[in-house]
Amino acid sequence: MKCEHIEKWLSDRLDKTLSEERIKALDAHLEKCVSCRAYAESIEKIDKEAERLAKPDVSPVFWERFADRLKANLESIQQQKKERKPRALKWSWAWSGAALLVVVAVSLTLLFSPKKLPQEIYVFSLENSLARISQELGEDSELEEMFNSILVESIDESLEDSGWRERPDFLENFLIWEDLTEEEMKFIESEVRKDIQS
Amino acid sequence: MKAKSILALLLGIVFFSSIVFTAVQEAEAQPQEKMRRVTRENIVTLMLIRMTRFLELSEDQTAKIYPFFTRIEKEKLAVNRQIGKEMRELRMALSAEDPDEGVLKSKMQAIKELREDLKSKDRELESHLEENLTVIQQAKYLIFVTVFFKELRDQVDRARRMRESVAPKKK
Repeated sequence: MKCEHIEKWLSDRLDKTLSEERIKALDAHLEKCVSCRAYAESIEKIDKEAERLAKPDVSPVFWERFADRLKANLESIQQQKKERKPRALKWSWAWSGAALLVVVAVSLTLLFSPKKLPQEIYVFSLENSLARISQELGEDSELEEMFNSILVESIDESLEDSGWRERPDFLENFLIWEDLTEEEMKFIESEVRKDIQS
Repeated sequence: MKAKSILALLLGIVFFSSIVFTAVQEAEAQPQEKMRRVTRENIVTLMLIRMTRFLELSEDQTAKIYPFFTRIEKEKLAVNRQIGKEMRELRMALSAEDPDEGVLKSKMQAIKELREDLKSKDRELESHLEENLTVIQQAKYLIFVTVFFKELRDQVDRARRMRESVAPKKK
């Protein structure tokens, strides 16, 4: 006989449901097995101690309703478990609401706070205006040639209107040489040479 | 009469230095770039002439503003050339089979910095004008510039119409 069955047989003998045959086999085993005998002694002792405890005076109706109450309690525990998720959901709504409030508060602050002007007011960009003209001209060289001829015409007209047409020969003035680089001087020299040759 | 002569002289300097500057750099530039540079110089020249009249610049103001304007323009021209070069290199780098992101980033950074450089030169010009113009002239300058560039855009349209009217005749 295996010791594994003894626990169950011992319990059954205490409940008086173990057959005669098994009782004989159990006693035979307990005579041989020290550990099972020790276990048997301990549970018999517990059983005797339990017998001594005062038995509660419970009416038969209590046991009839006990199953219903137990069922109701179990259902209520399950219900509570189910309700935990919606609770978390409620919290997420609360957080969303709080975030929304913060956003609204910040927006209102920005909206009604006195607008600060940028530190540097870049009223006009010459470069942007020139870039816009370049953009309009695109890569159309024919159009650009036409536009250039209009510009030259306009320059001439403006000079005429200003009475600056008859300007003095500025090349004779020493100021012009001050602003010129070595490269520019060489270019002038080569152009003058070309003129002389032609 | 003397004032007019000085104005004419300064205008001459502007004309001459820009022509020389352009010519010196022409050897390196692409045909389209060359033309764009000439266009830009013509615009600036016209702007200076018109501005002198519109703002009623004094002899002293002209002497201070014109050379400064010309110097800034030259510097901006150099920056624009550099932007053009960086853009060409950026295009080349991008058209490679496996573009090197490091190269792309450095080119983009260089272009950004050059654009900032252009803006700072514009600001430099503006502050120079502020220093040398009266408040009324500063106000007039803003109006002038707006009207001037609007007029230029109209001139581009005029050029477009002129070309369209010429084109059928060629056929």
